[in-house]
Amino acid sequence: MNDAPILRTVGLGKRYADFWGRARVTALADLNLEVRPGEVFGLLGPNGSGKTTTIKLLLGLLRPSTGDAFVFGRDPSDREVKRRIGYLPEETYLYRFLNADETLAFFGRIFGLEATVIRERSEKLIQRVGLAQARRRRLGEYSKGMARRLGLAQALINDPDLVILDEPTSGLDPIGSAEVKELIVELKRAGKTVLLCSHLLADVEDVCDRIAVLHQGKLLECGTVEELLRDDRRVMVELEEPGEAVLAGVRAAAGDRLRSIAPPRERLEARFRRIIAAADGRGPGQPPASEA
Amino acid sequence: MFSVIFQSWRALAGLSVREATRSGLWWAVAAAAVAMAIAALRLGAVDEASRLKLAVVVVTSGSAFVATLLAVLLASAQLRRDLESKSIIGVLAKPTSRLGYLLGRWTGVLAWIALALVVLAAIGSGAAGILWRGHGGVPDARQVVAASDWSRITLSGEVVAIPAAQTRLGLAGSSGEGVRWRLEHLGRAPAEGFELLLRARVRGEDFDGSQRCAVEITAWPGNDSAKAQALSLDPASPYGKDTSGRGAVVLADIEDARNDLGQDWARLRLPAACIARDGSATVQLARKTPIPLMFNRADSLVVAQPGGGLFINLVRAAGVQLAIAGMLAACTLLIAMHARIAVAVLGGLTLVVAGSAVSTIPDLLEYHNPSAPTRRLLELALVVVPDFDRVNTAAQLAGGKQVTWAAVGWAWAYFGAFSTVFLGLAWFGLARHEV
Repeated sequence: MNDAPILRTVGLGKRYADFWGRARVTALADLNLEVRPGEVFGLLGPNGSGKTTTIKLLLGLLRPSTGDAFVFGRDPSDREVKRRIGYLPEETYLYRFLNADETLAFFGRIFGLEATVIRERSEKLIQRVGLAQARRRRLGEYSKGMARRLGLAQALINDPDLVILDEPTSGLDPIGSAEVKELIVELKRAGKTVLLCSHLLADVEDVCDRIAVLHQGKLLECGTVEELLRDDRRVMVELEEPGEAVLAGVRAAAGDRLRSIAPPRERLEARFRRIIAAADGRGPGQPPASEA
Repeated sequence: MFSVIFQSWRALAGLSVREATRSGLWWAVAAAAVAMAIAALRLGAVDEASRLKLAVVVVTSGSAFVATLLAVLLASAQLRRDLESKSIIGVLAKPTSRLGYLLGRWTGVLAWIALALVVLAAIGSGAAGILWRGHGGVPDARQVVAASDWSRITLSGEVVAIPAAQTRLGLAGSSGEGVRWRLEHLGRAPAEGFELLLRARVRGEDFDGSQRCAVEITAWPGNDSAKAQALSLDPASPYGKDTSGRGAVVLADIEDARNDLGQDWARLRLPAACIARDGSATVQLARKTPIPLMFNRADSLVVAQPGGGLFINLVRAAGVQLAIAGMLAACTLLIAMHARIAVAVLGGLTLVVAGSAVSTIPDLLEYHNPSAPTRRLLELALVVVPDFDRVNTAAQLAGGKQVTWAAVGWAWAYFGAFSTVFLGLAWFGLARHEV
């Protein structure tokens, strides 16, 4: 198996200049990053931290001011590299006068796919993102969530090896967000590499193998989720239906080191999904009826 | 690399056509077609021939106007919208060629304009057909074949070559002097022969345009003068009948500037027997009265061959208009790369105004004696500003002349050169554009 990094940046930086060439904004400075094959890599940071700039540099849409970027070992602007990438932009920049089928066909043609391949993949993707009922409607009539789903579909039309998702859950309700995260997990199982860019911490924590944290254009932290979130100073113990006697024994053993004894809390997202699914009488993987 | 350009080109061209179709522009084209048809049908004129001429001018000029507006509006709107809405990010992130993107947008706009022009041509020729339904239908346009060479016939019958640089010939001596024209590359003649059109400036003593000159016209195939035949006037000739009843061909004075094949030439028939197998023929004119005559090398004697119906000529005229529209679309794409839609539209329309005015510059330079800096500027404008009057299809069709495929090809070569420059600059801008 080839372990060479799918993405690699070496001292990558980007400065935006004004009309006279004077540097005005340093969007990214000295970024050194590697993304390995088959992993889900999260790029985290507040608004304006340089996440989208990094992605555009990796896609060859911007030219670096300093350093280099390599995708599949080559220059990002290489068209053979772009054939293997699927990209969901931060905003869903699709054509409002096209419908879902036409949008996927358009992007499929740009990839040079055969018409039969486009048809087969479009059918699968539209079903997968839950837009089968709305496929003939023009995108101008779509809600933000529907447009985002279609954006995901167009990012996968070419069956890419590397999927770059910039704020993929933006505009989606909790159910939609959960479905996107399921899709990311499916992509990972299929051997794809995913670069996920988000400022929603819960989304990144749930699916990513490794995370990098950017702030004001600089890389502050990078590591696995486990490494970054682990707190060796504490221990959590889960007991199944403990009686009062067991709890008393724990209190006595811990003494003043004990911080809390309380029932665990379910995640709000999981609870929300269960409530809605029960109300609709459907499985958690199906979209809400109002979106179709 | 070429396959990538071609893929992007094809995908973007289809996108442009779809975008234009779904923007509701068809309603505007339909409204323009209806307005044009009504205008053509309700024109007033002194006679039916003039009415048809006016109708043809309305249709051709109206189509050119619609093509101009569509080119400027579509090209600026589509590219600018892609840049401002950032839809271009989704496209350029794919294995797209920026050149393919530009060519696709440009070609898509042209394809849509071409469809609109064909619709307008169909409606225009339909309106003309209605106008002429009581007169045997719209007459076909004519393909004009000018004489390839000419020479002077002296009083003694000597044939004297005329220098190539000499564009006019005057016959001012006694009657008997004449002109001989050589015609070549004539097509296969129908049984009734070809239409032969003849005209001259007649310079009598009064200079009042009322003089007439009787002439004898003969023709023979190739160089075989033994087979010479005397030609007589076509009964439908607009002028030239001898009122004395002797059957001679009589020429009246006609200004060079008038260009209607149906009205501004005397019409004879060149029999098929006077055309050699290689398509060559000789026509000779001898004066019977000592009235001075002046002939123009370019158009004193021409053969008018069938040049197709009005619809096919309107389609060829649309081909010329499309070449101009392509140049305007390319210019507007270039401006839209760097400025907003309104500026791009204004820039495109400015080019239209400049291109329509550039044909007046030679007269300005010759007759108004501008200052040296102004002269240099005007001379520069002659080179860099495209001349929209280079191929004036409205005037040609109004004069009954065919718009040839060669004219279409020439228009594409001329305006295509400008398009190439504009598209090249737009590509340079897009290549440097960071999205």
